[in-house]
Amino acid sequence: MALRESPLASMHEAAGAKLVEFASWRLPLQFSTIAEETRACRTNAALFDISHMGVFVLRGREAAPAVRRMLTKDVTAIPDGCAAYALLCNDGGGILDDLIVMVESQTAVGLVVNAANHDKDAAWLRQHLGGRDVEMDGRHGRGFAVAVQGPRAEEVVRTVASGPLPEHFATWAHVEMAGARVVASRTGYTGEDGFELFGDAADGPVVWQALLDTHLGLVPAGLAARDVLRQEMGYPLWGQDLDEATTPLDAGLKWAIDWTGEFVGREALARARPTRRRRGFRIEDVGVARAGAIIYGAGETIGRVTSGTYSHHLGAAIGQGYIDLSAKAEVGDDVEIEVRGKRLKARLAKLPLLPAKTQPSWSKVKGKTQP
Amino acid sequence: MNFADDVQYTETHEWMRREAEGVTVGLTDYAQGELTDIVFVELPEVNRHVDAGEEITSLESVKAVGYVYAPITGIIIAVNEKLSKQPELVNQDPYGEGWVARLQPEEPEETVDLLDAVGYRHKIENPPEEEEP
Repeated sequence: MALRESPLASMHEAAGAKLVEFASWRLPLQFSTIAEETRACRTNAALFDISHMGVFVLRGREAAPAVRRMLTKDVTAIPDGCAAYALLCNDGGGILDDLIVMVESQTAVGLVVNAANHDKDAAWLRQHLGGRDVEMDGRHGRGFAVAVQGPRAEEVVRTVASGPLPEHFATWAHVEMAGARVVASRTGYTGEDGFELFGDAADGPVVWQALLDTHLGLVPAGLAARDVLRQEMGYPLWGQDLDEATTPLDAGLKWAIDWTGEFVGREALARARPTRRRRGFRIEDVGVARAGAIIYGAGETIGRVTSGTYSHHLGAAIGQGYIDLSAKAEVGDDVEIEVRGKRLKARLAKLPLLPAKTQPSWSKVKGKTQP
Repeated sequence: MNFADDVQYTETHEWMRREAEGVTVGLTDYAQGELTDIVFVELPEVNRHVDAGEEITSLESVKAVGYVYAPITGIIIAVNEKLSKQPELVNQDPYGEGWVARLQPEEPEETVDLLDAVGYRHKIENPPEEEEP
């Protein structure tokens, strides 16, 4: 199968980026070094190509109520111009995908989904729309998407954009950037303040270049840095830390469920008795634990690693995995993780491993109904 | 990508250089690039005897683990101690400061079937065609 190309591919090639295959897309893994790119994101700002993310827009009289029936989050209660993290569950409460839902109005709702799940989600959404008065528009391959993340992200985006930017976390607005119409969403996958920018594929290169031309310390960063940054924040990645056999309760994502109203999977989730829980860890030995490594507590198998990497920022190998609740292991407990036959000392840690530096969310801002 | 001219290459992405003190071994520029940022290097044991093709040590990067295999049979006579504090030297200077180990070959005159820079570059730039499903 031919790989999908980002509209920014030629720019990445010109920049000498190392490109890899990810979810049937050819995407930049690395521009300089992971250490440098992650540091830029935590201290200045980093620019990511996220054009592989799937985007669906559902329009029609019944758009919001129809989407509400499929998501754990009550879309009908999200104000216009706001967004939320939500899960798409199957009848058993297993996670089909995790996504960002963006509400323009009760008759226009956008979903930003994982690239790897795009086709599956499209089929599921179509099937569950039934005969409702809703039209679904996918725009795979027709759009560009980039993320500007870091303490200087606002300064960077403000320099290029005209018009007011969304102020609170998880709010969004239409803005003009370098002559292009762009949706600017104050969201991200790094734990830093920042924006995700969506526009037409043809405008991608101009916007990417205009952002870099601000010379405010913004550096392009690849998927490898993005993976480290999200692991420092304990954010799950579908396919590694989440799958259809895992419920939001197992994953510690109960906060993304609104129990009011009906949605697919609600009944199963209300009855579910979780037997394991997603936890973070920090390795205190020399070594890195990867997905699949067994976690031991008091000599017994108590869990399994689902993501692991090394954080230059924390100076330690870190990761996340699922721990059996029967083990009664708590945050701060010492465990061992087996890597190539050796058991490394590790400690269960609270997620996130670093405090988030995002703006206060629209849902936390008192007396606020519109962004 | 850099292909040093003064070394020989293995199919498993090590390089070796015959020097007065012995045979110096490291990871190729291509291999360090594939691994991404190297964060831990387990230093090999000095005085250990290794057969050609045997694992000398492993290197952990942010993304994956990589192994260094002995290109030649011999005894490990020195290791690059700097790598325990500065594993990134393997990324920054793979054919120089980032060397991994030095071997005393068992048979100094032994000729081994390794690639030169041209042959190794050809191998990297012409990966075997993947079969269409």
